[in-house]
Amino acid sequence: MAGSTAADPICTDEPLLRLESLKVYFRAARGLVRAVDGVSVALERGRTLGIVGESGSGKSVLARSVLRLLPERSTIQTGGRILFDGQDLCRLSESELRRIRGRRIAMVFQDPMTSLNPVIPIGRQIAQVLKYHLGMAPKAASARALDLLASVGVPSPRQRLEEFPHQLSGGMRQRVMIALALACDPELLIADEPTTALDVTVQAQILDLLHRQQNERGMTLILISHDLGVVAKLADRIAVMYAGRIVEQASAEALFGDMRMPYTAALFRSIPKLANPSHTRLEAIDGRPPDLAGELRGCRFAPRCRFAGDRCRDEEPPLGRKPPDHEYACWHPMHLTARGGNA
Amino acid sequence: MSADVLEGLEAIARTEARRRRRSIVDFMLLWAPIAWLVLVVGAAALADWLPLPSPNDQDLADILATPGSVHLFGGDSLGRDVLARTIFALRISLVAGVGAVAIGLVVGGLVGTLAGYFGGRVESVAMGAMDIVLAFPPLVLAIAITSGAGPALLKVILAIGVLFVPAFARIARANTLVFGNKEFVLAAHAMGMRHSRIILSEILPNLVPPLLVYSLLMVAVAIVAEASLSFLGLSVPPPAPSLGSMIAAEQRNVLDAPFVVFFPAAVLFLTVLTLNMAGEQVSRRLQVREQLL
Amino acid sequence: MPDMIENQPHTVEPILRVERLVKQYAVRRRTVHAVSDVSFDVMPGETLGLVGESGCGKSTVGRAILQLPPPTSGRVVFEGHNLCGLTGQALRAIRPRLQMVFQDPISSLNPRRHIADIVAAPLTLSFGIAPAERDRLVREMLEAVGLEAKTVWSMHPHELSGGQCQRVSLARALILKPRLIVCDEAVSSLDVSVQAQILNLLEDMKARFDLSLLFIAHDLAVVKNISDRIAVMYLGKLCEIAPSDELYAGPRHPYTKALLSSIPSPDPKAKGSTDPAIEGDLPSPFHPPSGCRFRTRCPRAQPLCTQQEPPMRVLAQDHFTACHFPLEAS
Repeated sequence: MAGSTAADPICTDEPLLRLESLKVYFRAARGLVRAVDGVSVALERGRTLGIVGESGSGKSVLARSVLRLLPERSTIQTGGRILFDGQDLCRLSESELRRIRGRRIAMVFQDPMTSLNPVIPIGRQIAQVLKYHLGMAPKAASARALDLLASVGVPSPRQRLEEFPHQLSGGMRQRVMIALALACDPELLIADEPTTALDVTVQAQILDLLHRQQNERGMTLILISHDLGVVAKLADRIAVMYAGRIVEQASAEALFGDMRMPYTAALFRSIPKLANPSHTRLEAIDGRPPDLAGELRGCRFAPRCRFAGDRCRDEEPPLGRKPPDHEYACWHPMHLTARGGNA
Repeated sequence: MSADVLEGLEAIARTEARRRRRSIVDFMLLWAPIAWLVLVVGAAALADWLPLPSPNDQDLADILATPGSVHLFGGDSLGRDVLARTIFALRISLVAGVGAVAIGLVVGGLVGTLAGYFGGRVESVAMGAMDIVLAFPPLVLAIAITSGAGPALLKVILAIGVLFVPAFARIARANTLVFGNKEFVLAAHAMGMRHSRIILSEILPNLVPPLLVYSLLMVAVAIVAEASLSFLGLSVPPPAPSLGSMIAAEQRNVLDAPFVVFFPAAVLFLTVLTLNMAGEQVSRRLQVREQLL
Repeated sequence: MPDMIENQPHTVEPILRVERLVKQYAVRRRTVHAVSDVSFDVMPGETLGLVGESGCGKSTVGRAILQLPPPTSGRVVFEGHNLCGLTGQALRAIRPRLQMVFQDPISSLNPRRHIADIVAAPLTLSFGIAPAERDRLVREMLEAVGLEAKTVWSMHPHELSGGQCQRVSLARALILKPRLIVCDEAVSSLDVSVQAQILNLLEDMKARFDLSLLFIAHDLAVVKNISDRIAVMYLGKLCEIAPSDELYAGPRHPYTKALLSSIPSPDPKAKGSTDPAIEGDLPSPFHPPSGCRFRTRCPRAQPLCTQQEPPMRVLAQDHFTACHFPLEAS
């Protein structure tokens, strides 16, 4: 599927979303936490960007900062631009931003239980969004809510309209969240760990749903996950985050065909693979990610990297671009292919 | 990168200054109440050795004497030293407050912990008993207990303590439910620990912070309750001084000699206020630690 | 399921034998059938994986084995003793030999105690251990699970990372030299890189202390990596038990197959098929479907599946499946 969209003529030169050296810092008791520290990424219309990273890598902060959903009191955005359709979201006022949130850019979060209002029937929650953003009449809004629920695969949607979030299963709630996010036909959908709380069989259903909705609506998608497998399933392009930075970025094909950054390779190797015989020794990454409030010198992965040399510890490698379209930040790049690893 | 970091550091410096100003206020909010409480407790504890006139010595020359070098807080309508009486009254207030809370904490804590831990029938019986206590009109219960035989102070402590038991029981039960369902309790069972040991060494340490905070607040409530009972003449009998009875006895002199009522009332007010503030501070500090846990 | 036990030629006695285990709860006057008639063995030195979706009853099985709380009916025979029905001192005497590691690394450690105290707690239960000896054992065990004893000794759980907490849990479980450890989703809340560390550690500890493991998890890839045999559970019942590699190579129960194909593979080549393997959600455990419990989501369901519950049958050496219409061996 990646192949067909790659050749698609709707991909124009101007990307729908472009982050330019975005930096998001937090004030915390232990100091300044550099959660996102100079991230640049571009995403063309209709494509899917997968962001992979472990907890604390800054991937969720990155997603939230696009819509400026982070607490203003403790956040300092020191630099960078968030260009959405040519407009810098950092310069918009709160009211201008509200016209974009939910309408042109929508989000789906990990925990559908806490993202839905527990005391309002789900039909009314969807209708409210339609009334607020599109100014729809109550009747039209509820009719549209019904259509949306049906389109995301909620069985007997008419009956579900009246139900409360706690009456639904986790998978159904996530479908409702997706319906809510799709209500205003957004151009960009940001899904932050949308399947992490779900069982594998339901995860497969939700990923399929996201994929279909994206194709039907020509929507652009950012899929954030800690699971390389989930991202591999949908993404055209994959960015690997570590300690607040993108350390490797390429098309899914290129990345899995040739992982250059040792962190990406280590992450890949530490996943237990079904195809391997049981009791296969996993290649764990020793240690833990650096404290983002502390002093960071050299390559951030160096303390845990098997290939690290003196240069890695002293000098930070830039995110270099290798033709045709593979970026990675490493002084000692390597080669690992997913297929080779699987064989 | 460096320019951005500098900008970030400047932002930090700005907030640092703000934080320093805030920390002075925080410091005062914590230590001023503690200083007052230390003063009050110390005075009450050392009352017998302080260079004070006896609280019950009457001197006709000092009837409603104005505050001055002889009588710092003045004299009351029977010519007794108000400062001495206030300090001795404080002693009774504090003993009543701490004693009542001790009863509530021990009995209520025990009942609530057992109810939360074992659940089922134990819980229904225990919490049912608590509901019965709550259903009694508090004043009627207090009058019933204080009208019995025995030393007056003990009866007051018992009356207020009994009224506190249900509240402590509820807090202990709620927190036991939270911690009892955590996996470290299950792990203790899996190790083969006895119930008694699990309650003592696994659950109890986790109940200390919430119960401690609540106890501080309840000491203040108990002091007010004791003062109210003594205002109604249900606490220690005269001539023994008590903040409530001092205020009650001097009501009619309030216009001629306001200080006779003002000083005991002010001490009562400040003590209760500082206990509340201290409770608030302790709870805030514990909450910060709690978030780290 | 008795026929399954007869069919298995045992030369060695299993260390754990679970027979016809049933666990029911009452929730608001309705009965939840959390576990219905589950039987399996764990052999000495073996790792048995127990896998299934959330709500399938796999954790309930793990806890019922440790009698936390005891099952409604059935037998749990551990080292020749039936644990069900044992109470008080008799049960406490066996507990040290049967330990558990839980999912949530933070909440399974008492937040107000030092790491050394947490690990030493099981030791203090038996009388007559000298403090110096106790400290030595704790230090040894902390080092064994890859923690620097000196550093973590007087730390509190919240000062450690999730992976480190899980190491502490493991040290606590190991200190009494148990024979069997039940790992209930022990790596599920960890990041993949840390998960790999803990999985490797479990393998090392198993070899070093000659342990048997019952490894309960929802992630089939993780379970397959660590287990010798895998038991697949669905809605309170076992569907299939087979050696790990055989289960992967030739699943015979449609549910096992669905579970296998639902796992996203980190290989874009596998991307072409985003079609979910099964539709719908888990049925309610209050009213499990008649006959085969998987029939409501099974692509191969026939009328027979509604009427009759499929018995556990042996299909190949050590390969058991409860299905009327099992898939062909590949």
